[in-house]
Amino acid sequence: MALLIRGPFPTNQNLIVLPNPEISNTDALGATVQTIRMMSGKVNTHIKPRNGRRKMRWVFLLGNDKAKELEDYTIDFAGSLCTVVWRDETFLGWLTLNPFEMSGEVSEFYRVTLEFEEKK
Amino acid sequence: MSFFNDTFTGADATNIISGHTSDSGDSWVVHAAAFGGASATIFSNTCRPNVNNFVLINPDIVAPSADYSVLSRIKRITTDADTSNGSGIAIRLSSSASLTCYLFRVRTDRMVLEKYVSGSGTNLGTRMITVAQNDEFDVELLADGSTIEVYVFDVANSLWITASGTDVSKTALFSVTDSSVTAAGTPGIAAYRNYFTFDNYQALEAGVLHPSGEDFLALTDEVEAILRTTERPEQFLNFVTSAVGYRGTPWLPIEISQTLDLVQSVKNTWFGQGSSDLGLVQTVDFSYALENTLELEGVATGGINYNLFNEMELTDSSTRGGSMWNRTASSSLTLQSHANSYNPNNKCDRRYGARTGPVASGKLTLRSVDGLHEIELRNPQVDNGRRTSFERILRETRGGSLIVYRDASWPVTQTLQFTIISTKTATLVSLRQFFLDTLGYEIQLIDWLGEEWLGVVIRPDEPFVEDGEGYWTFGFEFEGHKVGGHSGSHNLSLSSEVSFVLE
Repeated sequence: MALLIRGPFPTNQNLIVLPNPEISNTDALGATVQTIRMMSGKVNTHIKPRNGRRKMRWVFLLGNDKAKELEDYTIDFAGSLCTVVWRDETFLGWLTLNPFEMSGEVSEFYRVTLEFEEKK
Repeated sequence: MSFFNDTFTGADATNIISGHTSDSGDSWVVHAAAFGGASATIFSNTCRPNVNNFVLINPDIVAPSADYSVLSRIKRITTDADTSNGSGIAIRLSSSASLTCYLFRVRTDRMVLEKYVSGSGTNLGTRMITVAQNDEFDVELLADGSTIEVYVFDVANSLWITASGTDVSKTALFSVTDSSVTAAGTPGIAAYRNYFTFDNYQALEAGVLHPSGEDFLALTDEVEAILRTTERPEQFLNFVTSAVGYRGTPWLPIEISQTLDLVQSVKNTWFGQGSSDLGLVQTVDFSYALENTLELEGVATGGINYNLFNEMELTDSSTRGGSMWNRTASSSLTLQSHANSYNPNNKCDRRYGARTGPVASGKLTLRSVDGLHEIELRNPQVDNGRRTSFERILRETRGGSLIVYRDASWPVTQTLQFTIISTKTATLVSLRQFFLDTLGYEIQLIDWLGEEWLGVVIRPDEPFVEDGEGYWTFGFEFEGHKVGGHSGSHNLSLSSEVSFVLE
């Protein structure tokens, strides 16, 4: 199943199709909890739910042309909302990893990491 | 659906009123509002009114509803001028002798839309246009509720006549709102003398596909859905082919296919021209998403030795048709996406084999902009890197929302990292001198794939490491930008051209 990135929202006139990312992709909540222990021993928690938005990181192994296509796409839409469709889920947010790095692998392949954070 | 149509097929001089039956089986009658002696005859399989100052004839029917269209081809056949009256078609024509209808007429210097209520006429629109002898137009007069519209297609120029000019898309010449005439009445033909002829006359109910959708697969027909409601008109052309193999003999091959041919043929002419167009076009007003999809999909599940491929073939052929004529054939297809694939040696041990993409045939070359200094290096190790960083703002609001902003003019910094091994001492000396000569200056970098960059070497102080006697490893970083915008291999263009001259 391919991973699709469409942008810029809402016209979505551009589309890039990427293969499945490598295993060890991550999917994390943006929410954080900070605990503070009072002198009385009581523990207070301060939370930042961040509206439940998720942050995802994918690592792709792409051929030379596809990697450069993704690089150009990232440059064009670095500040634009985009829609990611993968595994029957649709996410709206930004590609947040900066800088965007391509690391060469054997035979003109590049390993590329994308980080995506939802807009909520 | 068409409830009346007539192509006026018959012998010349046949009286349309008394000696002709329309294609839909109805007859024509002279309207009560016509001048005495008005009539029409068949002339070269068209309807030609007689020499009467006001010919008004109508089919002997009543329209099934007040909302319908009247279509006809109108052609000026004489050189006589008519700038005061005109010839055309009527809709919602009442049977009363006091003319009541909407009337579109063509004069030799203009086209007019009028309404008549109990004999009193009112101009609803005028388009000044010269109509010469043999000019012909496909005209549609539409009445839908209080909307009255006229569409005029210039046959010779294949353009729609609009209020201010012409258009390749169907555009109304007149579009007015009027509720003076609401009864269904009948369609009709109105003419001043015999200056114009009428052909392919038909009346269609509005709100449905017209012409008839039964002839859907004949690509010479135009099928159009006009719905003036909140409904969404949709048209589907589905080709479904399926086959089921015989149980017990799964090895028997079954092949299914579908073909959509767009074929034209032009013969016996020196200047024949044909073209096939498959257009996916949507136009909407205001802000709606438009999407065209041309999908070539192959799916195979299970089975043995299955092959999947999609082909999009562009073929032009040109054959000898005479002497001293140039003939060319060309097809072009530009694709802006790439497929990523690998060729596993076996499914359990994925080893990357043949890759997609361009073949590395060049060398890594550094050159000063003035061309005075140049050095060619061996290609770097495959772990070369590219880093692209952006200037942008990333903020989190108090409410926890993430906002990212980047202006299109803010800089993008791109850096290339290379590691080159087994470089001989002589090359190293040349490279060191090149760095000194171009220190801080913008230089040109051409990589092994032909991609050209302009920028600066930002880490000339990286140490060189002697890994073997007389062989060094070094790395450097280059910060700059690609020349020519996107990657050189980003677009895949295919074109073939054949031209020859016969003598």
